[in-house]
Order: sequence, then C-alpha cells, then structure tokens
Amino acid sequence: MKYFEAFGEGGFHSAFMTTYAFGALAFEDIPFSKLRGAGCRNITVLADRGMVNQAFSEFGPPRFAGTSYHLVKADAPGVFHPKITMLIGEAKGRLIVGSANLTALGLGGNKEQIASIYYSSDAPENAKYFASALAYLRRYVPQDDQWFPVCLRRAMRSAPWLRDDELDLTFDARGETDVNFLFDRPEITVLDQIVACLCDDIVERLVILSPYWDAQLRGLALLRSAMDNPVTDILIDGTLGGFPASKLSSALDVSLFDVSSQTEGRFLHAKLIIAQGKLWDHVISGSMNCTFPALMGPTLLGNAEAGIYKRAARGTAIEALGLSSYQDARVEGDEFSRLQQSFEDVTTSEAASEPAIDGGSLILKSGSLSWIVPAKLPTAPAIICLYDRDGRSICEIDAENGFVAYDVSPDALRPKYGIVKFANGAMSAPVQVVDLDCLAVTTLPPTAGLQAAFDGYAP
Amino acid sequence: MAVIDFSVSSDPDAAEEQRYLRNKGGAFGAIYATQMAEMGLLHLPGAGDPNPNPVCSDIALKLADALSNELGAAESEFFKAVETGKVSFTTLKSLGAMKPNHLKFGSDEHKLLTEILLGKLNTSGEADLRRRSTLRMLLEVVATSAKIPPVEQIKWRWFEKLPEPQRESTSIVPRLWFLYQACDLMRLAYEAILVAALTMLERKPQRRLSLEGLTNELVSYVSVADDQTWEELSLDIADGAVTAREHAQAMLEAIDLSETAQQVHLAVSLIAALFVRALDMTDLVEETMSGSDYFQSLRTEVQFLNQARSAPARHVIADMFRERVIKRHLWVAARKFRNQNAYTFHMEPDEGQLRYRSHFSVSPSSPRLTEAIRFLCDIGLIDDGGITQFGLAELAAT
Repeated sequence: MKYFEAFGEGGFHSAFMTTYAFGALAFEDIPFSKLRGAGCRNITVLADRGMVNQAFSEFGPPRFAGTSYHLVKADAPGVFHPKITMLIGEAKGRLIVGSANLTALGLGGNKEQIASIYYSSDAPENAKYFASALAYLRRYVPQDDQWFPVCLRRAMRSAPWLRDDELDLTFDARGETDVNFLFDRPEITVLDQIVACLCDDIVERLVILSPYWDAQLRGLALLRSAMDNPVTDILIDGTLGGFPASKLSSALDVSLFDVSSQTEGRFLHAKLIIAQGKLWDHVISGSMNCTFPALMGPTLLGNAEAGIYKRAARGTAIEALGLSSYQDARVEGDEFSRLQQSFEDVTTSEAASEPAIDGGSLILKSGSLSWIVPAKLPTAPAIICLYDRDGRSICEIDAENGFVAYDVSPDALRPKYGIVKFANGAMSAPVQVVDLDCLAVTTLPPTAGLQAAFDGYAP
Repeated sequence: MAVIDFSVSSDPDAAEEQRYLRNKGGAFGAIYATQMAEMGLLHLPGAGDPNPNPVCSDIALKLADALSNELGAAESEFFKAVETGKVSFTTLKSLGAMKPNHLKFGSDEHKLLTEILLGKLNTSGEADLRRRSTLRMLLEVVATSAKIPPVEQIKWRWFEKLPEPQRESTSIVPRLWFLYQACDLMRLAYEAILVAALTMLERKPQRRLSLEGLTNELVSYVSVADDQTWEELSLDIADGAVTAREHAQAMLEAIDLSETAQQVHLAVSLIAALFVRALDMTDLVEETMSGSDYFQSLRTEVQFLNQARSAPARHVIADMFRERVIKRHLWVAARKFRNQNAYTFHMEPDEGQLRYRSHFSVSPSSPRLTEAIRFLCDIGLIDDGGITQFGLAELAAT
C-alpha cells in the first residue's frame, strides 16, 4: 500500500498529524480529501511554524485550514520535525511514524520510510502509544489554542479505548519490548531512548541512512559512542547534498556508501538506524536525521522528533529493508572531496535564505475576530489586512496597539486570512483565520451532521 | 508456404503480454470512432442508448459497398484471414490493393471518398465545411510551393499571412489556424521557461532553490530597463525587426543548445510579440476561446498581461514566471496526483525550497496536418511534385 492510500481507510473519526514541511495544496488534495471521504472529519495538523510561514508566503494560504480542519503552528527550540499520523476510530487506531512530510514529495515523490503501530481488540497493549502520542502533541500546541482541546475531547469521547486512566505513558526503558515509540521527552533524550531499547545487546555493526548531517558529525559521534563505537556503515544519496566527508578521517571503522543508484531517481529522504547486535537487529526509523539537534532534542536546543523502534531477528533487517546490496557502493578516492564540496555548497546557499515573518494567529469566534500577537515582532505592527477565501481584500484593521478586535456581521464576507503589515513596510506571511464557528459544524462526523449540532453535540 | 499466425495476438481473451493491443476492445472506439462520427460516417450511441456501439451511417454503407466492388476477391480473402487469424505472405501481398494509396482514380470509391473528405455532400455540416476549408488551405499552400512543404512551414504561413477579417467571403478557419499557432507558441514559450527553471534547479546544490530565488534568477536573464512598463517592452519587441517566427526558432535552438539565459530571454520576447498580436485580435480571441479561466490559454495569459500592462515589466515578468508558469505546473501536477494517482511533478516544493525532479522535452504540437496531407495524396489532389491537375480543378471549383 502506498502511504497516501492509508488516509482513505474507513473506520476513523479523528486524525492528528504532525509534520515539519506543510504543502497545503498536496495535503488538502490528498490526505485531507481522502480522510473526509472516508468519514474522518475531526482533523488536526501540527506543522513547524517557520515552514508554514514560508510555504504560505510563497504559495499562498490553504483553502480549508481553519474552516474544515485545524492547523497549528508549532514551535521547538530547533525545529518542529516529527512526522506522525494518528488515525483514531471507535475500536481501532493506526499510528504511523516516519520520515514523510505532509507535502507532495512526502506523500508520493520521495523515498520515505514509515512504520505503523495498530490498536485493535487484538492488540490492546498498543493503546498506550496512542495516548502517549496525544500527550506529546498537547505539549506542542500553544496554550491559547482554542480549537485543539475540542478536537481532543471529540476524539476521546468516540474512542473509549483511549480513556483508560491506567495507561502508563512514561517511556518504557526496560528494553524488553519488540516495539517502542520514541519522541523527544524532557526527562530522556531520543539518543538515550534508543540505547535503552537495545537492552544491553552488544552492537557489532551500525548502519545509518540519513539525508542530512551536521557539519562536525556530532550526531554520528554521539550515536557511535553510545554503542561503544561499533563498525559503522553510512548510507547516503551522493547525488544530493553531499556529506562532510573530511570529518570522517578521524573516525575509525566508519565506511561511506552511496546508495543513489537504488533510489530510482527519487530523493532519498528516509532516515534509518539499524544496530546489528549479537542478539537482535534493532531498527529505528522516523524523523531523526543523524544530527546532534535530532538525537539530543529540545532540552539542548534541538528538535522535536519522533520515531519507532522495532526489534527483528538477528541478520534480517538489512534485507527486509531492501538494503542488502549497499556494500557494492562504497565511496572511495576523489569522491570524498566531491561530497565535502557539495556539502559546503549546500550549507552556504541555505544560510543565505531569509525566513518569512510570523503573523501570529487570527481567531474568529461568535462573529468576533481577535489577533494573537506573534512571539517575535520585527517592529511595531501597523495594520492587519483581511482577505476572503478568493483573495479579495475585505478591510484593513489598525493594529498599532498590538491587539485588534473586529466584528464580522452575519451578512459580511468572512475573512479567510490576514497579512500583518509593519511600520517599516515589512509584511508577515499570510495568517489563516481559525474560524471556530465554522469548524464547530464542518468537523462533525458525517452521520451525525446537523442533527448532532441541534442535539448539543458541538462544544 | 509462409504463414503469419496472429490468432493469439489478436484474441481479446489472450493474456495481456501476448496481445498486440493492451485494450481488449482495440483503439477504434478511443481514436477513430469520434473522428469518423464527425465526418458523418458513424452514429455514436447517446446516453441511455440500448446499443452501446457506434453504427454506420447511410453514406458509410455506400462507401463500404464502393470499396467492396473495387476489392473483388480480395474482400473474401481479407475476411477469411480475420476469421482464421492466419494469413499467408501471398495473400497478404494481394491485399495490398486495400491500401488507401491504391485508390483507383475515377472509381465510385474514389469519388465518394473525395466528396466525404472535402465536405461536398448535401448532408455536410459545419465540421465538414471547416475540414473542407482546411484542405483547400493546404491545396493553396502546395500549389504555391510546387512541392509538399513541411508541416511546420505550413503552420507558420497560416500564422503570418492571415486574411483580412472584414472580407465577407473569408471563412473563420484561417483565423482559427492563426489562433492555433498563437496558442501553441504561447505554450512553447511557457514550457521553455519551465525547462529553464528545471535546468537551473538541477545545477544548484542539492538541486533546490526557493521559489523567490528561482524567479529572481530567471528574471535576471531578461533585458529590461527598470522604468520600462510591460506595454512599452512588448511594443518595443513587436515593432522590432525580429519576427515571432525568428524569436520562436531561436528559442527552440537555445533549448537544444542548453543556452538557458538566451532561452528565457527569447521566450519573453516571443510572449511579448504574441501579446501585441493577440491584442489586435481581441474580438477573435474572446469569441473563439471563451472557455473557463480554469484552463490557461492564449486568452487567459493575454488578459493577465493586459491587466498589468502599466506595471513595471520586471515585476510583470516575475509574476508571470512565478504564478503562471511555476505554480501552475505545481497545481496541475497536484491535480493529477489527486485525480489519477499519477506523480507528474517536474519540480517539487520541499521544506521551503523547490527541488528538481525531472526534465521534459519541448516541441511544437502536431495538429494532424501530416495525416491531412496524406489523405490529399491518397485521393490524388497532390503528390510529390506539388498540386495535381485534379487538385487544381478542385481548387478552382467553388
């Protein structure tokens, strides 16, 4: 099954998703429409604030966010990077964790790696992972978000299996399970979670597939050190991005392999850590590149990340993941300097790009619009320009005091998004309006519909 | 005796890898039936029609009878081969009489086929008369060339030598062929810009660049003064000595030679020339291309440029590159991904950047003029030496 086909499966009423990059057009065209078509209406997406702002600046605001699903701009000290899709039904659940963003590339263009955990009456022990994921999302939703609590209540109300107060949401560090759900936690880094999952198995070979690396290979050094510096094979797509190959000279027992010939022309975006132990193969997949910010997390100003640990029989994982021929593609000779040069070129070009300006949040509730001021302002805001869903200008509101209030009369055009204009002429990225009045109706289950609203189902 | 056995390959129930055609029903319904219906040879079933198959019209049955008379014994040989799924080389050679270029001049089949193709029957409708106009235009071109010119040359001639619209006797067909070429040129220019964008992305580190960065680099290839409006730029280009044909040919050559900067510059020159030319033909463009703005066409693009005619040319060009070319590609690819599960992105938004994925080739479209020329050859109106006496007589007839 292709990843995007998972969204068309019936039997789910709620979907909670996280992503780093957010492609509004691709998301609304494929996962969103498939979910809605399959009867799943209670949909929430958390996406990295910087990526959302950049995407909206360049490609315009989304058509349905704020009116038919909830989009939350999430922050992390590094970047908000986890890629989780959690589908919740009355008696079943599917938790998909991987490397795929909610973009066209993530959904169909890249080579990605995803892993799933299912809940059903046959696997009740997995309910804890879903409850953990919900608790994790709650950490990244801003305190003043008014719609997420409603989404959460609705999801829990229609999923009795998630309402078990006995579920243990702490990280299981005993290392006794074949599956575990990893994500950044204040009390333990992702790296330490990985080590705990190994359960003292002695790692004989470490195989790492990662599209991005930090310049000093600090993430690699930490990971290897945590496993007593085993023989390590690094798998990269040598046609893209390069690799800080000069830093490898100091690392013994580390080999580099270019697996670009196995990618069928697609960008290799999957991230995998395979620790071949004396007892088992340990496979960690998810959003984590092999970098310091990914493995050490927000406590050390790193990223929000999520992954899944799976344990397999010794010597089986490499073949099962389709990587058995990687050793035929060893990088040698001049290739090292070419990869180093490519890596430096990428680093230089990306450092030059200007981030889009955040415009905060716009909330429309009971016909009254309010503005939540962004955490960082380049200068004093002057006005907020409001637009309808077709991009037509509705009005401009004075925002000099850092707060606006605007009433939308019942027969007036409803604002769909706004742009904050600052005193120095700068403009924010488009800010989609969270239309609570609209969301209250459009996100109801299809069979309940208006009747449920009349019955007081709406919050 | 050598025999070709095609019984399995033409059996619709054979395994797909053994069949000539993947579609069990063959290509008739999808490719030929609609065109034959337009010529009055077939009646296509309507919605709710109990017979889902196309049926022959009276004129088609007459044509079939005429063909049958001409074929003689070859007809039964043909049907026998069809039924058995086998044919000997000797029989196959004798069936050569069925080829269209073996049409016997002066025969009933020849006369009837000529009348049908040229829309000369009493039952001829508007589509037949338009086909007749096109075929007569082809005859005129061949008559002045003393040979059959290449199709590209014919399209350019029809674009450049448009009859005055006020002449009452002038058919609309020449103007439609002008529009066809203008639309095709606009598409070629946009595709040239998209290909240039892909080339630039492919050369970048990690094969990616922001949309704004890509747009700015593309615009840097266009020579335009800071204070020049789009109207001023386009009039300068249109009034210059270089024709649209020269702009287009140079642009295609630049694509072949991978001269990206020149390719972008020439694409904008071509668009400017088309813009001015199309503005002079606004009534025709609006009248014949009044479809939904959902589809990009010469009309929508000229409207877009005309609305911005007083704006600085550099801004207009940047908007055109970003909104009308790059984002349009992403939008269309997203629709295909959603509706057909087909991943056709040539570049893809990726973590705040656009990432290169694949190239495509840019080439002028083929409006089936090659086939029309072949038909005129088959019925003897033209040959390798140009127009025939029979063709001249047809041209002289009203």
